[in-house]
Amino acid sequence: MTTATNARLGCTAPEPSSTHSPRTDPALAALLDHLAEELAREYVRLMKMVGKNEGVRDRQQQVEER
Amino acid sequence: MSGKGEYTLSQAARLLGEPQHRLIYLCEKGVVQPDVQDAEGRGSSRRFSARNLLEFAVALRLRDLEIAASFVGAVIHVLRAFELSVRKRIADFRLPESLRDPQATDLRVIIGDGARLYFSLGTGGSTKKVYGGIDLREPASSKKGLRALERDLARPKALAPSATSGGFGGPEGSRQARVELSVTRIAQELRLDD
Repeated sequence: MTTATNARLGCTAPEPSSTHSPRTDPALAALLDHLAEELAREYVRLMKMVGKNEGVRDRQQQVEER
Repeated sequence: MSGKGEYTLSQAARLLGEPQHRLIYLCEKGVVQPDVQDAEGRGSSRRFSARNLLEFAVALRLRDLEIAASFVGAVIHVLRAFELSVRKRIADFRLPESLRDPQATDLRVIIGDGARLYFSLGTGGSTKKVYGGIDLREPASSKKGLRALERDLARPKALAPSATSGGFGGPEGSRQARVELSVTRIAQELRLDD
């Protein structure tokens, strides 16, 4: 695709042929899936931590109200 | 909205404030795959989910920054896999809704030196952890085996010296250039209703 065509389509960058895509590269897709899995573990850990902190704050508030 | 959580192309374009052809381009490149209905020949039109709207919003911001569509496709691939993985542990987790909570964890995409893909996660009170580092120009360039590479990608990155000594890079240690985008912030600012 030419730069002019890209500009007409609102596509700001021409496509470099050297970048791999998960659609055509199963090994890359597997790596990205693995990365997503690790991110998900960390996300769940953080959400549990936030939940615990909120629980502690709620308990502190109850004590103060008494 | 055409149905509960469903959007036509024109509705999606209007909510995102973008011309339709930019969304069509992302669909045709396979970056965004319509969740509700894909275009199949004449007379059939694409229909999108709220998740698709988030994917478009992230993809369009990255395209504005001149990131190649294949690279953007890798980012969207991780977001989809991330949602599925979290949902195995938190059944009601949904994108974009779960990131719209004011308490939501800040999920960011970082592109280092124009080629390396990272994600970071952190809350207001915690230090951000950075994951990834896949070189999308040469994903298989590592001499390590796949398992070793996976372990390395999953290991949170230690703060690079450049991040602490006033150098250019962020915690992932980019040397020349970096792009950072908050998926959480985009989700929170996403318009889902007219």
